[in-house]
Amino acid sequence: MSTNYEKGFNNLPDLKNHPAGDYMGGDWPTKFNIIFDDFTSFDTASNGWRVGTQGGSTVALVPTSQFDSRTANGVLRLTTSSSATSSAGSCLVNWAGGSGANRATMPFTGTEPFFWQIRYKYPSTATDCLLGFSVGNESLATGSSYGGFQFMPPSMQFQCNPNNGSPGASFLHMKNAIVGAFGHLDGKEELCTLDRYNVLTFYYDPKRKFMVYQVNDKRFDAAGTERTHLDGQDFMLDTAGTIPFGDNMMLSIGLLGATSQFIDIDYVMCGYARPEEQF
Amino acid sequence: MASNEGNVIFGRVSAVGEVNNKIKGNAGVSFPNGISNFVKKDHPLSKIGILDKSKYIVWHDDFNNYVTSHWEKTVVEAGSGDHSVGVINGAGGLLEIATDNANNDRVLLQYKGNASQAVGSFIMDPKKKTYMAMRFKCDNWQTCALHVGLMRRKTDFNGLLSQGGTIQGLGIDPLFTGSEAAMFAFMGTGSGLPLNCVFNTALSGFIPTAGDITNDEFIEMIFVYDPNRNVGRSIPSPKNIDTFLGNVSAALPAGQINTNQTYLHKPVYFKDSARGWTGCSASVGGSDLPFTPGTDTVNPATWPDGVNLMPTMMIRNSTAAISKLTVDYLTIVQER
Repeated sequence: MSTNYEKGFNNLPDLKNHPAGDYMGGDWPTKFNIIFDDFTSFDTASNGWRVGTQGGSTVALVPTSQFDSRTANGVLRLTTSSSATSSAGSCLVNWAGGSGANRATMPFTGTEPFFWQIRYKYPSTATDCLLGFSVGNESLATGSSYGGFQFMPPSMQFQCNPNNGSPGASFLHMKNAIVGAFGHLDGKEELCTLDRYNVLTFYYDPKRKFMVYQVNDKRFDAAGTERTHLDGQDFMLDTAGTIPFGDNMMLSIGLLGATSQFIDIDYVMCGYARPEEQF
Repeated sequence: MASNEGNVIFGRVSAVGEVNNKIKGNAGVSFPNGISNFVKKDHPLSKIGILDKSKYIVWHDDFNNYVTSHWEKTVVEAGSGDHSVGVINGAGGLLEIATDNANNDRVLLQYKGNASQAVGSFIMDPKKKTYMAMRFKCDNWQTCALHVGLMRRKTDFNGLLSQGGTIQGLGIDPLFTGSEAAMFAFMGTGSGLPLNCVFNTALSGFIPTAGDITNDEFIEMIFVYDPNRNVGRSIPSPKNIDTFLGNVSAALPAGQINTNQTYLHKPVYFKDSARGWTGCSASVGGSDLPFTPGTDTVNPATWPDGVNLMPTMMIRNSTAAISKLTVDYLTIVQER
C-alpha cells in the first residue's frame, strides 16, 4: 500500500527557510538535476545525444519489428560494424545537449549526492563485445569512434566484455587507476551475463563520504568488513588518485569488438543534488 | 518516520539483507511502495504511489539540453553576425545566450514547443498560487537589458519597458534609470511603472550593489503569487535574522525596507551565495490582491488579465560588445 498525503508534500525546507516551502506538488523541480533517458524515442535533433559511428556501425532504437517483444519498452541498440573490428567498427553516444559537441553538465562536487545508473543486456550470441560506460568531463570518443579505456583523469569508467576473460570481466576505472573488478572472486561475472538485463548503479553519499557500486540487487563489497556489508566497497583509499571530485561530468556509452556485435541499452541516468544555495 | 540517524525505508528490507530498515547516515525517507498527493485518499491512482500530475502545471527546464525547435528566436545582430544560443560546459546544465557585438544587439527566446511560433503556456489566474524560480547570471550587469520569466509573444523588441506587453519575472534595464543599473521584478502590465518590486535605491527597494552581485555571479530568484498568503497565515519568528523570509528585523540587508514578506500576496525573493533568501521590497501594490474579494474582477493595469504568457529569456547589450546571459534553470509552477 502506498502512502498518500492528501494535502500534498514536497522535498524543500519549510516556508521559513524557502520561498516555495508551501509548494505541495511533490518534488521541487530544481532540487535535483538529472539526465534520464528511457530510450522510448531517439531523435538526435532533440534528445541531447550525439552519435558516432565507424565502418557502418549503427545506433538505433529497437524493436525494428513489432513482433520482437524482447526489446519492447524502448531500447537503444548499439551495433558494431559488419566489416571492421575494434575502434574502426565502433559506435558511441555522448551527451551534447543539442550543441553538436560534447557537453559536461553534471558536477561531482564531493559535497552533494551524485549518482548514475545504466541498464543493458548482452544478447546470447555476444562474443567479443566490449561495452564502455563513462561519466567524465571528457568523452570516451576519439572523434566519432570508441577506443576503450582512456586515461582521462576526471572520470569514472566502467568496461565489460564477456569475451575478455573466463567467463568474463568487468572493471572500474576512476581517474588514473583501475580501482575495481567485478565478479572474479566467486567465479561469477554479473555484469557480463548474457541474455539478461543488468543494472549498474553508482551512488556517492556526501554525508558518509563513501561510494557504492551495485550490480542488480547486489552490492559489490570489499572483503571482510562490516562497512562493506552496509555500504559496499569503499573506494576512498586514495581520494586524490581515484575520485574525480570537482569536475563537471558527462555521459558516454561506447561499444567495440568483433563484427556485428550489439548491446541493448534500456535506460541511462546521471544526476546530482543541487547545493541548497542553488535551488 | 524520519530519523536523524539515518535513511528510513518503509516496508521492505534494504538491498543488503542483514541491515533491515535503516541505513546509517542519510537523512532521507524512502517510500518503496510509492508516495502520492491525491486530494482524495481513495483515488484509484493513489494506490500505486504516483504523484497527481494534474495538481500543478509545471514547466521546468534545467538546460542540460537545448532543442532549437522548441524556442522561437528573434535576433538583432548589427555587428559581425555571430550571436549564439546553446548549452555550454558547466555545472547544472547551462544555456548561454550571447548577443552579437554591436550596440543594441539582441537575442529573444520564447518557448514554442514544436509549434510554428511561440505559444502562451500560462495565463495568470488571480485565484491560483503560482511560483516562478530561476537561476542565472550575466557577464555585465551594468550594461545589459535582460529578462527571464514570462512574457507575451513579441518579435520586435527594444528595451524592456518598450515592450508594451506583459512581463513577469526578472528584468534589468539600465536605460530606465540612466547610468544606474536597476533590477526590476515586473508583476504587471504596461510601460510606465508596473513594478511591484524594485531593486533600486531611488525607488526605495533593495539594490544589488557591487558587493552583492558581481559580473558572472549566479543569482537565484523566486516569485510567488498566493492569493491566500495573508489570510490567516502566521509564520513563526525566524531563528536566523539575516536569511529568514519572515524577517522584520532591523538587521535586514541595507536597502531592504519591507515588512514581513510572508504576508504579501506577491513577494519576490532574491538570493545570492552570501545572503541566503531575502525578501525584496514591494514599492507598488505588492500586498494588494489584484481582485476584490468576492468578485472575479481584476485590474488589467496591474494584472495580466487573460494574457497568454510563455517562458521567455532575453538579453540586449548597450555597448558594442558581446553580452551573455547564462541560465541554469527556469521553473514555472501554477496551481490548477
